[in-house]
Amino acid sequence: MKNKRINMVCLIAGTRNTGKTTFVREKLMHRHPKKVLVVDTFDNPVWSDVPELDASLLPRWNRGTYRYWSSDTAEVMANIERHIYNALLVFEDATKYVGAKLTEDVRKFVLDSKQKNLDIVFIFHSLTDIPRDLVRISDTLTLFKTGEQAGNSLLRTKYPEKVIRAMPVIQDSSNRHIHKTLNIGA
Amino acid sequence: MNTEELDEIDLGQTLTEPTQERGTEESEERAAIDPEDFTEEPEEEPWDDEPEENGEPDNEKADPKDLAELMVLFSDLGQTSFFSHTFRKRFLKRFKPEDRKRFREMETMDIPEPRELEEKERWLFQEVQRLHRELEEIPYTEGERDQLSRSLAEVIKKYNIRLTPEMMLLGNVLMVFGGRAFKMYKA
Repeated sequence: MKNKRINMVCLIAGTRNTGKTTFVREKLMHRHPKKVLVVDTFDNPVWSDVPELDASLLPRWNRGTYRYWSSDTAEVMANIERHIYNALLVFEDATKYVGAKLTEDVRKFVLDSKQKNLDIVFIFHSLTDIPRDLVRISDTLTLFKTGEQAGNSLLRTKYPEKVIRAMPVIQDSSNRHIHKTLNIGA
Repeated sequence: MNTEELDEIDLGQTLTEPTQERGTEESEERAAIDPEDFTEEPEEEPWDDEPEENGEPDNEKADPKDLAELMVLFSDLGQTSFFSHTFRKRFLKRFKPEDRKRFREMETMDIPEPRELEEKERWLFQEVQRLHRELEEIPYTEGERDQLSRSLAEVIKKYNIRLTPEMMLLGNVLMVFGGRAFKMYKA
């Protein structure tokens, strides 16, 4: 029998209009089996074509692609933790959920993701926005143009060498939508 | 730089691979959400398994590592500034004064076609590139940083050196300004 893969925690970093949403739609959502939930803090027009899922239906959701949005991030996290299994979760503008430093709740949620069969994608606008603790427990980083420099000392201590090496390659490219997905897991 | 060097992966392909299903058994058999049928369902069983933790509170185990990383970063900034300056000085000493002047000029120039330069200019350009390559290798590598941070974290833990938020802020401020000051100095 073929071995099942373990679940993944994926980071995406890129400034506006670099193709993050397109990447998530075309490369991740359409290829992920069964359940995809896009989580946002407002009725984001970028995802308007994806049907909304009311919080009351979360416990009974077992198929399809939906989006779930609410400005109450604590409630969103609590509902997701309680009801969501076997899915791909996409946290749009994840800074609103994880903050500058990873809270114990979110850390536990991420560490529990394998037990709940959750693949998680956190989308950020820059590498600086991603908390150091989240980098440590993530498996991949998909890097788009962020406008940040590889010489930035804080980034050099936060990310593996290969990320720092990829930064100028991406930054110097004339292709606005260039991106590279790097394995940053231990 | 090629894909192998960066350890690039196809995330979309990876996510198509199957994972181990979790949750209640009946979730396998449920149909897609029917907007007409919202009858109550039994709640999901809570999971008993705990994530991998050693029982130590997070803030206590995070501090030594953060402090160690900060200190290693400082030492990296210091050694990079010192050795870059010294190396550059020694490197430039080998040139005649007029070549040195031209060398400095070439450092600031954008030369898209170095092959079109005259022989001496081309040699100088290659030396500029060689110096920059050597300078790029002065900062700690990721492996060295990890190794130093780990050892230092053990020492910090042994002597119970605590990191207050003020110290952390001061350290980060100094580091940010230090990096910029070094850049200005190099300019």
